[in-house]
Amino acid sequence: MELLSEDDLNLKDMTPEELDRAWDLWFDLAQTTNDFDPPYTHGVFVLFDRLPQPAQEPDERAGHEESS
Amino acid sequence: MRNLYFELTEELNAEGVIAVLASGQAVVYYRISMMSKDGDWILRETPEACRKALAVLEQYGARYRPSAPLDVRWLAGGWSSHFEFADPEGRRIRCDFVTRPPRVAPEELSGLFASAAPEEALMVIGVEPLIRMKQTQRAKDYPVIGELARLLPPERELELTTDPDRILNLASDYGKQSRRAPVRAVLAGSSRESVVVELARELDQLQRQDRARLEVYKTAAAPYVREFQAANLGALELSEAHGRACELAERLLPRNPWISEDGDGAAQ
Repeated sequence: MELLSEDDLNLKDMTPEELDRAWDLWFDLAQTTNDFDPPYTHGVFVLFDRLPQPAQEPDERAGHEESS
Repeated sequence: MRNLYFELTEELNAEGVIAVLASGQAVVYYRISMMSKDGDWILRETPEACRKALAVLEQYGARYRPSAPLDVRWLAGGWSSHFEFADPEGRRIRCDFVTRPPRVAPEELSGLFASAAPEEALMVIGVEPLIRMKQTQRAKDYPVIGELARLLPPERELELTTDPDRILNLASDYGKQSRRAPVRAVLAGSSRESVVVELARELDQLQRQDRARLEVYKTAAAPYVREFQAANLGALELSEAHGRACELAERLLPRNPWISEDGDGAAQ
């Protein structure tokens, strides 16, 4: 059982130049999802699926509560 | 256009080997799959290597992302440093650095930087340590591990593959000494289903172990990350941001989250 698609595995048959071109095209297309990417994919911050908001000053919090 | 992450690897190592390409771009290098938009490096754990990496990033106009300073005081505690810039075509380039990748032994780390002359080959992590780095809490890493393991000699593939069929095929010839549960299940004459269940248990345990490790870092990092954002360090020039991040980290980021203030250590 091969776990990845044939398209993925065909990378093996590419010349270095073809691999570069394939990477460039793939990377171009992948930019379209930038806004939906998690903040981190590697390292020790990956469990931050959303970054914590900066702490509000007490005055700002009071103002917010009054207006809501 | 050439993969910029490969070019950055060469640039980082131009004056001596300090950085080894890892994770998703290493998977591209081994021609397994394109599934990561980011670049990840294992950096040599020296102040000189940190300075060189910061200098290269600064040339590209990189900015810090909320993360630990690229400084051995925190990197030695397992922290990671993250940066971002746009390439000449406006595409987002993210660069991540560690010096203590998870599940890679210290003696193996020193060997990484001595494995090849940089002018002869791209400095890329070997297949076995790459597989161990990919034993993460993310399910999508495990099919990739199965493909990477095929690049290994059969006795090592058997120890690391995530493909039940490869375990079934290899166990009788190469698994006599193995302590791996799915391999032992094959040798005991268990059904294919039993082998699959043993493999699933093993992968679930790896995912839970990695998540537990990351929870420690998340908890320890929260106050620092909050202040990092409040100070908007990501908008500053890299050299200024680095200095400010180090000051902030001295106050809010434990150098090693596994060691408590009173010096007691915990197993990683």
